[in-house]
Formats: sequence, structure tokens, C-alpha cells
Amino acid sequence: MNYYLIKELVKTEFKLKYYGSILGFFWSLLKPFLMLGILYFVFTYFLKTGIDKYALFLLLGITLWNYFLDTSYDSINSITSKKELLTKTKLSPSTLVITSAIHNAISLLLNLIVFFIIFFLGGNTLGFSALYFIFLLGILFLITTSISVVIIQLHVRFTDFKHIWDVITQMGFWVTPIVYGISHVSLEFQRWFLLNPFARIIIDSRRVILDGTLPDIKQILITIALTLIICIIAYYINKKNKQKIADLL
Amino acid sequence: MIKAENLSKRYLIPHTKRTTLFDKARGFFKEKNVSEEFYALKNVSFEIKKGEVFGIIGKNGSGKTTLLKILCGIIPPTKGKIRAEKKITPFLDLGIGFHGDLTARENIYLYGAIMDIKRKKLNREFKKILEFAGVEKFADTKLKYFSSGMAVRLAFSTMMRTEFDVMVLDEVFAVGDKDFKKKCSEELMKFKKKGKTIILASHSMGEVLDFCDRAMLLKNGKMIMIGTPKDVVNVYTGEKEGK
Repeated sequence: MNYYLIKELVKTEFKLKYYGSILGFFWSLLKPFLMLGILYFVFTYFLKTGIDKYALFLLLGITLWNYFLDTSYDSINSITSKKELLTKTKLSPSTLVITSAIHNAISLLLNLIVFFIIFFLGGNTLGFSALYFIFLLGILFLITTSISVVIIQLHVRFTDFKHIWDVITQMGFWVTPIVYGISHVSLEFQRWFLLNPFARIIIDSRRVILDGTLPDIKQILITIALTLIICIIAYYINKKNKQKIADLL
Repeated sequence: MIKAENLSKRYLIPHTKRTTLFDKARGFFKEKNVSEEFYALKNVSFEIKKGEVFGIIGKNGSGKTTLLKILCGIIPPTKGKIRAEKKITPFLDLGIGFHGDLTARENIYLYGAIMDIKRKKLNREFKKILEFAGVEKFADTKLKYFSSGMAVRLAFSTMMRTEFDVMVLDEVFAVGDKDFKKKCSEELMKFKKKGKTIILASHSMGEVLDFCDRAMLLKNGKMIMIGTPKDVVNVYTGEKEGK
């Protein structure tokens, strides 16, 4: 892994994204807030959820989910737009995925700063349990990177994969407790729900930030095990197929 | 020393083109997918000694670029093996990763990172890079305002700072005007004198005759001959006229 190259690629990505746009980085804030506005309106006035601090609850879910969504799309797009890097230099496709994951992580952190400003302005306070949130961000990074490494393999094999990914992520948005909480899911489904790593990340993030309680040790271990399994699978898929991308492009 | 043994690269070209998942699913229930085997390279073996300049000649589609990519480890061979003592560095195109919305300075650093040039070295030789390309005044101009000649010169002069043991070049000289070509030839000569190993695919017979110690002729993915540049060029031009 060439860290200097990743750094330069991330810098370039950032420059190009915000170059010459008047609002610059605020565009990346606008998207989650517009989504928040719409969903908040619908789920507060039409379909009442009855969730405490619903705006913060929703914003945290959207921000974390969008990180995954944006990284996955940036990874897919960078394979096509940076084709010559893959077919004419020794750059491995996972470097492009990690580049996307890092530059979106910077956007995520900026979004989280805004989240916490709103959080503290609302008179909320953080407990020690919030430290677990840093760990959850690490998990989110690992899982997002792993999934992106796998989907770029599908993208180079099937030209219509992007449309399929649109549908999958749309589905993912609704089966992940983003606009609702786990308590809205009936008990018999809950255990299946919790196999979704994003559900775990979002539920636990809300628990440690909004409720100030830690998940129990069993759940933490399951999260770690699930992450490890996903990472190992992605690692082997990448190892076996990384040269095939240059062949298929 | 680099040793290539029985390199083959096979591609399957489907008769009915099915690249979407939808097509695949539909095809699953219908007739079997008929595809044709196509060998971009077939049983190519050769050895290149340390410090040698080795030319690869062949028409378009003869497998030159495929061979170079396999040598560099960008794509895997279907069969065969490559044994190399030193790292092989690809120079398959000029200005990979260049972006019009970045300035010359930004592009140099990005391209430098892609070519694995150390940042310290780039800092040190930044002026020389601009000078060699003849664009000293435009360090902070966006690349999209450069003429294509200027951009190519900038790419070449950055690329030449790359440190390597074995260089694999693919027709990079087909660019620029006469003066610049001459400059490029001089740079290449310097590397040759330093005793670097260079593998060069080319259309230009003059180049092969001038630089190479040995050359190889490829035709339809098969190796026709390896020999002195003169012999190989003779066979190649003879073949062309014969047709």
C-alpha cells in the first residue's frame, strides 16, 4: 500500500470536488440536511414515530448511512474514471476504493461536527459511553471499504450493475433502522435485522450518543465477529481478483 | 535478468454479447453462450539481460501492449511465467492521471506520486521539470489552458524523474515535435549509458535501430524471431512489402 499516493489521490479528489463551487463544502452538508428535512417532516407530521429527539436520531442515521452510500458510488465511479491508472500502472483497485473511503471519511467528520454542534446547542451532553462511537466509526470504515472492494468486481463484470446497486441501496436504506428504531421491528424479525452491520452501527451509535448507555458485551463481540467475517471475505475476493479488473476494463 | 517462459494470453470473445446481468440471466435459459478463443499472445519465450535495450516490433494488434502489461504485472498471463530479479516499472502512457482542472504544479505532484517518485525528489527537481518541458512561466496555470504539446512535454519531463531498474516503454515517443523528440532520445540514451535495462515497443524502425541491442518480432501474438535490430527490422519491413 502506497500511503503517499493515497494521500495525493485524496487531496486531488477533494480539490476537484470543491474547486470553483461557490458553496464548496456546504454542498456536502446540504444533501443530508435536505434528506433530513423531508424525512423529518413526513415522520413527525404524517407517520408519527413517537421517538424522542427525532431530528438528532434521524440525522445520525442518515449521516452514517450516507457515508456508506457515497463511498460505494465513488468507488464504482473511480474505477471507470481512473481506468488508465488501473490498466497502465500497477495501481491496485483497492487503492482507489481506500481513496474513496478516506475522502468520504473527511466529509463524514465534517458532517459529524455539524451534528454535534446541533446536539450541544440542544442542551444535550455526552457521557463516557460516547467513546464507543469512535470504535463504531472504525467499524463503519472497515465494512464500507470491504463491501466496496467486492462491488467494484461486480461493476467491471456487469455493465448494468450500477442500476442494480441503485435498487439494493434503496432497499438497504429501508431495511436499516435509519428513519425508524429497532423497537419498531417486531421481535421475531429483530435477530435477522441485527445481522445487517449497518443496523448494528446505527443502533449502537444512537445508544451511546443519545441515550448514553453502552451495548452489552455480547452484542459488542457479535459486532466485532461480523466485521471480521466481512473483512476476511472481502480480503480474499480482492486478493484473487485484483488483476482481473485491469483485464476486464 | 528477465526470463519469460511460454507466455500465453487468451481472451474469450463471446459471439452473443452478454455483458449485463439481465442478459446473463436470460441467456441462462436459452442457448449456451458461444465464445471464441482468441490468443493475444501464444507461447512467447525470451530472455533479457541486465543492461540490455530490448525492442519489440510488430503491427497493431500483434500483442505488443499485452506483452508489456504482462511483463509489468498489470495483467496476469493465462499460461507461462515471468522471472525477474528486479522490479519492472511500466511507462505505458504519458500523463496518466493528468487532470485539466489541476495546475501544472498539482499535476506534477499527482503524476509523481503515481509514478512513485519521492516527494523530496520532486521538490528538489521541480524547476528542472518545468524547464525541460519549457513551461516555467505556467507552474500555476490549470492544465486545461495548456496546448496538448505543452501537456505532453510536462508529462514526459516528470516521468523521466522516475527511479527504476527495468523500464518498459510503449510508444511514448510518438509525441511532440522534432526538437522534443530529439530531447527525448537524448534522455533515453542517458539511461542506456547508465546501464539500465529497457524494454521498448515501437513502430519506429529508426528508433529500434538506434537504441536497441536486440529486438523481437511479434505477429498475431506469436514470436517470429529474436535477433539483432537490423535483422529483425529487415524481416519486418520485408514482410510488410511482401503483402
